[in-house]
Amino acid sequence: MNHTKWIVLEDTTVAACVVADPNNFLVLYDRYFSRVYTYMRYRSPDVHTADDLTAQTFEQALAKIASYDPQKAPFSAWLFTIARNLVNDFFRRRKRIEWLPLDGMENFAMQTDSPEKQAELADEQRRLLTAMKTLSADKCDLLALKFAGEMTNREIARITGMSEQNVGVTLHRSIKKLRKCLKEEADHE
Amino acid sequence: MSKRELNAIVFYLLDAIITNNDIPLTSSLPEEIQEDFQFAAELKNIDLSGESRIRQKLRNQLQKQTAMQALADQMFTGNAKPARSTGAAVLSVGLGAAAVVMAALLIFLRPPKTTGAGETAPEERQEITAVEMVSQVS
Repeated sequence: MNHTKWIVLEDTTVAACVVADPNNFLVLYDRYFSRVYTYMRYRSPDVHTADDLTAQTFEQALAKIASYDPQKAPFSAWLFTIARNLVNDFFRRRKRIEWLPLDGMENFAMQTDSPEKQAELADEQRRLLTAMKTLSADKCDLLALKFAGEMTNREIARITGMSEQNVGVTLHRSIKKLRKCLKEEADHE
Repeated sequence: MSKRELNAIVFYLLDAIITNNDIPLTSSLPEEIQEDFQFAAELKNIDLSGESRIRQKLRNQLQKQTAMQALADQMFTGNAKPARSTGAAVLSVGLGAAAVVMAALLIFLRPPKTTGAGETAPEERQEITAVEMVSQVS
């Protein structure tokens, strides 16, 4: 499939093309994999769960693509609603919330970097995910939607049911808390 | 700068981080807020997908799935039409209508039944019977 022709197209247009021909779904997959995976990584307890939930998100999106209405919401909001529901269901099934344990964090860094760079990246990511563990589930969800999902406050408000103002305030507080936590850890070391 | 103005700027910057690659920070903002947003910009650039072990595997799986779905769609649209093709339907309706018209024409345009030499036409027979009845009464 020649993907260059899709680069300029909006997600909604691509989604409409997927309804006409399911083969076009891979364009959306390539466009969103990193964001969905990073979102899942912020919210999942380990790498395997993040992999599993990411796969489920795209499988459900493919199955339900005909029901996507571009006039109701942007494609990213629709996709992250599926992702978010899957994570929430996962924790509901487990009956307990267990945010971001440290197991499986040894493989964080990109394989293409040098060993030193990989170690540095893995360390930074480990610190970040550990700091995120100090936040509540709701705050972690907002940060993940914002920075992994790359969504605007309005889109987050629509998905979560919070007011736009409340999303902004909570996000800013969470950023402050996370930064403070990382700074304290760095000072401690 | 009032708290309300500062909040408005903070909300604007939170979206600017997402919509733009860079954030237009100015020195007029409090230092703490500038640091918050620098940190937020770093957060936005974090991509953890490098640790995923399923990226290519899932892509291949979805590729197969979409190909099968496309084939199923094709088969559905390909089989449904010939079974009830519009041309055949029009032809059969036309033939039926023609048959009905022909039958009607055969019924209404049938020539009147001719009376043989030794037979009496039904109309005449009725008239005779009436005359006989009148003569019997009189």
